[in-house]
Amino acid sequence: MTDLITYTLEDGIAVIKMDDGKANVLSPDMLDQLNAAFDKAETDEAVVILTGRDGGIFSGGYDLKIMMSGPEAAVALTCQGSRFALRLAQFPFPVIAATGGHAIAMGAFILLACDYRIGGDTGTKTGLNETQIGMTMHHFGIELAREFIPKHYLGRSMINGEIFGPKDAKDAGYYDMLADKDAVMQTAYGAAKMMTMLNMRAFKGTKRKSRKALIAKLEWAIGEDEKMSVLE
Amino acid sequence: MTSLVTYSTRSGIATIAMDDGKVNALSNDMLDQLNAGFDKAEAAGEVVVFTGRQGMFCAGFDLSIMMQGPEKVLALMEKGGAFSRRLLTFPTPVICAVNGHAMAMGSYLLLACDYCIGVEGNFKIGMNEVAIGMTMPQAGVDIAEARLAAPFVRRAVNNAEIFTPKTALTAGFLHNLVTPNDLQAAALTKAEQMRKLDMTAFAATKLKSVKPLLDTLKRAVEADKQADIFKGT
Repeated sequence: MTDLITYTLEDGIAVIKMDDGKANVLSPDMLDQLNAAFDKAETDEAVVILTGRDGGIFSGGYDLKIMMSGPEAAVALTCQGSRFALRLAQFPFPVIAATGGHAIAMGAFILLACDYRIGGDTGTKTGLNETQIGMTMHHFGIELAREFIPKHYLGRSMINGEIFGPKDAKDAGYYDMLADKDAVMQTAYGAAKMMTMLNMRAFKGTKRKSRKALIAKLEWAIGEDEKMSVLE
Repeated sequence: MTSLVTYSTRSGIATIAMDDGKVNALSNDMLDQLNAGFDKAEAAGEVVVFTGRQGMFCAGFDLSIMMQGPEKVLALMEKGGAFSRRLLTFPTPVICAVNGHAMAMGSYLLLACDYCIGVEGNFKIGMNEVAIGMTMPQAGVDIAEARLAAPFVRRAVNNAEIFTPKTALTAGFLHNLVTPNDLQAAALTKAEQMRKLDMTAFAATKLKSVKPLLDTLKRAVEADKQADIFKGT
């Protein structure tokens, strides 16, 4: 198995970096390695910075080769990805997504599932292009978007398949702040450092309490998606 | 029947325009003609640009009918509600080119479209129901909650605040703002763009995502039949 993920830990901050040398597609391998890295972060009780390629893409979404290889593989990959995003949404330590690059489809959903997201302020594309490429949005995606995208951007984001520049992407809820591309990681370290000062028991308890309804909905959604014979 | 709505089509894009020469009041006639226009677009699988007349998109329900007693009021509101649910579930994209004012039910039509482009200028957008003595129907409350930016729901629905196009953009009535001269081109460009979507995925995703709202509206419609909006219920 090629290394697609690197994990580094320093001063209670874990940096989990995706780099497949290309578009950081979410394949079963990539998701397995992400899960392994989050296992480590959980053991290390670390605040996580999740990032993409240095100065490049965060993630282009699911591996289309697999999505096109047949309905069973597509449904399985989608549900594996959904379970990873579900894990992020209830991860017991803060997860900060930081990228100066693009985040498309499942790449954008991962942003939504993180606790704080920092994006680059120029030249980035962010959004859910599912309806552009012929995929009806899965239930998990719809419920996650409903929770984290403001009402007036919801239809544009998940039905119209709109891909946003940085400013609109922030207004649409994909990012909490924007920074100069070269300063994104430094900004993320600052945010992570601040979050290490939280009381983690209180953080975990509050995240669990405030997301109880969401988690139940997301679990229901994955159950519905698993029943799909095709991604239609 | 006077022609209140025109339907024209060109390369897969239908333009459906309201023009009653005045404020584009939603009368039974106007709604029937709108439905006929959308029937044509639906049959042809066209992306729709939905628009009004210069300076006036729509001022809401025809007040002359709204003064004719509860039965007529209820019938007109039901027809308008059904039309707005049709927009919410319309299988192809509906782009609203908001030429100017959009008041009361006129502003609700915006909330039911997939993308709304407004024009800069001295135009009024909002829900004046409470200001003119109508308790907001439950369906109106529910649609506003589903579509407007959260902090604006209270201001729009309860406070009957009327917004400038610029603030209407922040509130979520509009998604883009252009000069009046650029409106038609901007709407057609957006329609061209959205025509490239996969229409099967578009229609199915729209239905899936709007389902909770439709379920809520089903209950609201029943509740509204029992209510008297002029008596505070």
